[in-house]
Amino acid sequence: FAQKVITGTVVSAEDNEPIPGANVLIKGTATGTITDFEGTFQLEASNESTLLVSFVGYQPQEIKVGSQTNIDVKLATDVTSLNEVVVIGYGSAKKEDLTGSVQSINASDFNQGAITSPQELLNGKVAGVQITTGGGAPGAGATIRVRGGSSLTASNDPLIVIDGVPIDNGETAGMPNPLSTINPNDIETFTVLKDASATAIYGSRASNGVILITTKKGTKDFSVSYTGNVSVSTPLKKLDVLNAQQYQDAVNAKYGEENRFNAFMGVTGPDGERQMFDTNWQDQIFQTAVSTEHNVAVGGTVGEVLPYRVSVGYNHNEGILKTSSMDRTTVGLNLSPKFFDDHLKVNLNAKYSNVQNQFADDGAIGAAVSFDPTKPVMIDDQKYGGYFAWEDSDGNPNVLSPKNPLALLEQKDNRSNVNRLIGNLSMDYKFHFLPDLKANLNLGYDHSKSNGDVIIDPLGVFDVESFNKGGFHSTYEQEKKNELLDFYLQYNKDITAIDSRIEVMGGYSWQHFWWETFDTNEFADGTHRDDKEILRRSENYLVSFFGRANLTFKERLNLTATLRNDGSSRFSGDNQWGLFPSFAAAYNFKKDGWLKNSNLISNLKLRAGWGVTGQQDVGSDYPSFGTYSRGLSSAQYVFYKKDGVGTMVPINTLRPNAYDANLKWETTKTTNVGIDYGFMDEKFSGSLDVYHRNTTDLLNQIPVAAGTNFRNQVITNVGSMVNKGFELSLNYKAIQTSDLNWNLSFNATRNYNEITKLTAVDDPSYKGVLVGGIDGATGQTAQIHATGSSAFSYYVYEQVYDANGRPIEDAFVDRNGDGQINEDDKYISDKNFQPDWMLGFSTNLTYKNWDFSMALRANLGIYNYNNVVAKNAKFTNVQTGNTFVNNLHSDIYNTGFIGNINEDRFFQSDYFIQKADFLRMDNIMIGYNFFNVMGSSTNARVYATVNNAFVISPYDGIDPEVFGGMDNNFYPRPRTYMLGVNLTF
Amino acid sequence: CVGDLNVKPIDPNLDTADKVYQNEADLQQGLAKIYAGLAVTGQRGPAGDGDIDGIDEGASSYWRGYWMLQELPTDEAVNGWGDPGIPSLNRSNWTASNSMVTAMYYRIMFQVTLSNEFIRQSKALMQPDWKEAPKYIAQARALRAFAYYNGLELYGNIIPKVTEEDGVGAFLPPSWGQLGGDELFNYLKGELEDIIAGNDLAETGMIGEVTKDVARTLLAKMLLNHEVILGSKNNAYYAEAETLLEKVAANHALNTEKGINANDLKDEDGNPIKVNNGQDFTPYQVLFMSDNWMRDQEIIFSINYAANSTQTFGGSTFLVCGSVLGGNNTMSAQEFGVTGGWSGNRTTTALMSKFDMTNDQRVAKEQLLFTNNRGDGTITELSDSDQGYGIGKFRNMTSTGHYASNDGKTDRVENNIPVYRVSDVYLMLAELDLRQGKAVSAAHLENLNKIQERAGLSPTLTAGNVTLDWLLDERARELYWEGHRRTDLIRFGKFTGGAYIWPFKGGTAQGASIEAKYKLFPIPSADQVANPNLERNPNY
Repeated sequence: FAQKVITGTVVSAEDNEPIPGANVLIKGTATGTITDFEGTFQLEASNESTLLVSFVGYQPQEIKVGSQTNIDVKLATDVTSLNEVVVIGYGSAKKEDLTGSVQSINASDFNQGAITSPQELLNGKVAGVQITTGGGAPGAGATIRVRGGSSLTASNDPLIVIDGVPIDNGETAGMPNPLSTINPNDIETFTVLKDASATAIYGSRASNGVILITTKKGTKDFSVSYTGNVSVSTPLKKLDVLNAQQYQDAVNAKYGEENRFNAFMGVTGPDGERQMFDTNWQDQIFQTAVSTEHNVAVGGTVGEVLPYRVSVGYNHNEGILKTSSMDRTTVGLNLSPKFFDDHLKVNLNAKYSNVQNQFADDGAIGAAVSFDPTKPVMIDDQKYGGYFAWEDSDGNPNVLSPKNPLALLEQKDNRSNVNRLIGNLSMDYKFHFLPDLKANLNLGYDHSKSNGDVIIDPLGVFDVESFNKGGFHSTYEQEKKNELLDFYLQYNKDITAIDSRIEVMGGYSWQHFWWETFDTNEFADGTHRDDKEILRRSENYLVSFFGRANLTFKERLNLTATLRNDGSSRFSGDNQWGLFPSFAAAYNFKKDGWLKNSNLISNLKLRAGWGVTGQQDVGSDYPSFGTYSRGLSSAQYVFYKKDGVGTMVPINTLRPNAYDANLKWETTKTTNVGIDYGFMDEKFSGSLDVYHRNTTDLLNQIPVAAGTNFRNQVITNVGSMVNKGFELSLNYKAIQTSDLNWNLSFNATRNYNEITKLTAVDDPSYKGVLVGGIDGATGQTAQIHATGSSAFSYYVYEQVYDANGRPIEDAFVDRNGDGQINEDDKYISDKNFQPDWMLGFSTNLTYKNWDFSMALRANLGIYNYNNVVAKNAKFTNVQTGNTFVNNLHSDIYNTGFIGNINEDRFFQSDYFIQKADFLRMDNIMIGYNFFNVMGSSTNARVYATVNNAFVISPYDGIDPEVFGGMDNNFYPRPRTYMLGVNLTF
Repeated sequence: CVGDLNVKPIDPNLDTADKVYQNEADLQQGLAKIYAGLAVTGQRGPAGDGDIDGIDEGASSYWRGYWMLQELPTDEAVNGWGDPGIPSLNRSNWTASNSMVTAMYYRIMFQVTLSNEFIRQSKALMQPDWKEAPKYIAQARALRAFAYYNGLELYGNIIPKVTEEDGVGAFLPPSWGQLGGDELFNYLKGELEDIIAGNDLAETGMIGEVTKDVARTLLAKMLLNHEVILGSKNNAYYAEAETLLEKVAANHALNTEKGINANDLKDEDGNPIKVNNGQDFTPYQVLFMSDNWMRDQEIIFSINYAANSTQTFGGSTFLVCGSVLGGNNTMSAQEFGVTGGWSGNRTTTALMSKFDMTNDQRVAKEQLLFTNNRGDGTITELSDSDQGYGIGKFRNMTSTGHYASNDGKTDRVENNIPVYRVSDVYLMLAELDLRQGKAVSAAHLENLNKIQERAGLSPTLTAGNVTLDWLLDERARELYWEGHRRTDLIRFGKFTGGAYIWPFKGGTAQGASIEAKYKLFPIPSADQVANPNLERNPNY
């Protein structure tokens, strides 16, 4: 055959970075070459030959030469590569050696499109991990649950470790989502540790899983990359409230044409006539938002010894609720030099971010639902800045009425400025005299400083006190420090005599969390709401000793044991220290004789583990010993002297705080059995895990027996809860050719949650802990933690319906048949907001220069309490005071509820418990790649995405996905269209 | 570094018990919290760091809750708000999960627990040179008895038994006893008799401080109501009550001083505002105004307020703002010294019909009773605050017609709430005569005529006029909206059953008979759930 010269470039499909050192082989021969530093190659081959291009960590590719003389190859990363090194707690491990349930997600698998916080990258991608964003606000918080959540009252958030530093993920002033200070573009991998054998090394903070985040590092060759995008967000749905005509018709139909409410509708015109408007208040408060993002990263190696990466990012994110926005600037630096023949590896990370938030008053969302639609937004009179506002009969501002939704947004300026620096220096030293022994020191520092201002316009009448005093200004400052010192020694040894390898690790960790807040407030007339300045401060410490031993026998049996001893300053005396062990084993059948040569089965590993983890994050730093709080000057007690002029003697107060002296760790025992499988050379691969988690000594805020403590609800250790379930993940490489690559992946999670015990002594008459406060019915609840049921089960009356399926007001089923309807007729529903099934599906397809991907997510078996309907779809809502009227929700047509027969029961009807299953298209993306534009090493990619493209759900509320199930005042998640470009030089 | 785990609070506003109680001034701050528990709702005014969980903070106020439980189920008042718990108080169909019934229960038990802790800590930390501490302890015991007595009259003998002997933390206290038992009654009688006989409680003090007369009035009230509490009559209790009240009456007198309406308030357009219909404030009115600290000869015990120091959405702010009605221009918020009327509390025809509407100064129209544009006072729809008459008994202005220290710019009310007044004592003394089977004594009759005279009525009552039925009506006339009514109606046998019907009793606009179980509120289901040791009220 005639030989010809073929040239080409090999790049990574993920980021179009050239791959140096890739093998390019003529199939069936020993002839070949490797790519140079620019990823280019040159070799001679015939038209009939086939090139085999491979590189570790990537899926190999075959290309028929044909008539081509220039062949560019894109290699897809091989996510299931068994040789992949996975970060685990205090170290790393080869994926094939893992014994626990660990899942790692690389950049190429992240969610695409309009992503502002790291959590969103992961949503729907990992079986057993549920991520619920707090709504559509820029930088909104997100709730992450790994395998349910092991606690009732204590934190159920997983521990998040960024480059080895367990970060403080608690509330940060001016920053609803502390994790969104991290630029998602700087993240290289997430590793989710799910079972106790993987997490127990983190002891007392590991009950809810651990998420390890690794950020990007310097590359060998100099490269510059730019990514930029612009996006447009619009509301996906609005709530169905009555318009002006429907509203008047509904009120007239109910109360007759001559009703007392008519006089309140509309406004009086200049000639004294009544003018009716038709204002859609939701249209007034929502907007189409435009956002942009720019990121530049420079990487390389200085003098072949100092790899570096510097990144700068800027993100302007506008919310669909007017006046909400977030501006984030991030700077990331990574230096990873090695010294002394690679004996000392140093890794320095610094991630700085500045976030400037403008918060909208999301009370405007609720106000837009209930505000009278017959009113104009603006009026000629400028006394309230031109905004319509309700007045009382004296013509003074109405204290009780709903507030003009637009005024709430535009006359309140609520801004924050947050600076955060997360840095760490880790040094890994391999002893010169004993290379099997390594020492690792990690010093971490996580510091944030935030401040904010809330300014109410002098004409902002929604705060009547401020209006009367010429305006209001409050400020807040917060500083948080989280200091970490970790040190561990690690000994690795191959013991060839018994065909084994052992690894032993032991270490010490000290961490200190500290915060301080300083608040001020002042009216324009110099007076204050309460104390002019308030300073608060708190801290807690964690001190730990930990160790791990691994044994690998004949490359097929892996055994792991870990132990951690944690001390927390939150507890006292004997309860201060807790011991958290774990054991796990894995057996790799593929390495055994009978499977070794199987063409069908490419991987089969069985894992089993058991471990104990804890939870100590109860919110308060001093929950276990008696403290007293000083009252502010606005809550004193005052005596009057009998001196003829009544001289006041105000006295500050001291209040004892509730505590539980015997408070201790919550403990979770987890058993996990899993299989990792792969068929047909990993064409099908995945894993199946079955787990059982039993949490005992639950930290639980419960109503305590009155008279026994200084609050009626106290956090104490009571009860136990079981989570069990399974997780399945399946990846399918449908097509792998030179032009076309198509991968599909699917995951499914089924979790069963049951509270098994709630009281110290067995008491069948004990109903449970009432939770799920109802908005509009203060003090009433719709949920319960009860023995034998899922946490947060709905606890309600059973609604009675008429023959037409219409609910009959205040008619409930007399479930105990005693002839009366009372508390005893409430029942524990088997419905709750926690999904029975969580399903994730994503696919990506590349064809020549095109790429396409999408991610779908479904939750089944979830139910919400539709608090918006409960509050707004009843006729008593038309007038709650005699000086104004309120709009109705259209569900009034379905019920005709009046709402005044017995308000003790009205809100607790199971009518309001509504099915909220959903299927959500999280993102769809299509992209096109230009290779070697403007010279050989410049690649470009343009892409378009739609995030939150659609939601299919029977639920009538604004969004079915509401963490906690109590749906009220929810900032809706927008649909976002994005256009973006990536450039690499 | 392991030593780091033994932390002490570093917050300037937070400390451990041994640190906060270093001297007697600190101790006074602990005592002040027990008083403040009656006045405000938490450590930050008006709301933000509340004492009670699971309820809107403003609604957790002691006197707002007590007032609602004592007034809304009676002929004196209705409240048209739809807030959970309120309509069913108006309609007498509350349940064990009623929010207001629950909040008041926890507020009472919070007061008891605070007092127990204070007594326990004070005794433990007591230094020989602390001279004030024993007085503080005596006041704390009296305040505990006050809360416990309210618990007894509202919920009965089955409320939890906790004293300073019990610790803090996870234990389940039992009830004092069965429903109708005498355990709590006897405990309170012993406590009050002990502090009245002792030397630690003073005969006089600053306005708002608990004195012996407060303890005497409290004990006498419990003794007067003993038949309701215990289920059987014992004349010795009435005799003891009479002795106690004679002593209180001797130390106090009716206020006869009127106010001067020198207000110069102007509206937005500069026109003068005619507060109080342009009239001077009567000697009866000034008892309920923002400088009523001056009326200490009549007011035996008050819960005190200062507009800026004791901010709350409960207490007297609730009594003023909650009673100012918007709507048909009947009551003007600025004439009550606040920024907004909350259009809540109104009265029914049942109360009005008891008055001589022409002459009785205690319901002077458009000064205390607001009827303009409000028809005949009949209520058909509870939530319509244009129905029923307004009551402007509590006004956040001085008796000279000026704004209190809120300057009229906020809803922060300065009125002290009169808890015990001497006219109540006079009325109780007359009642005690009748309940012991005697005619009203001359001295007691003279007291009643003083009340008549101050009300602008002729002081010509004779012993023959004064029957139990007359006394019940006169108590409504003199003490309406002061938190006595439910207890009074029960004592006179008129609260439940069909002997006396008023609008919305039993849930209908005309009124209907209600079951005897409503004489007591149920132990809230939240505490039944938390504490299986508690006796249940079997009727709920």
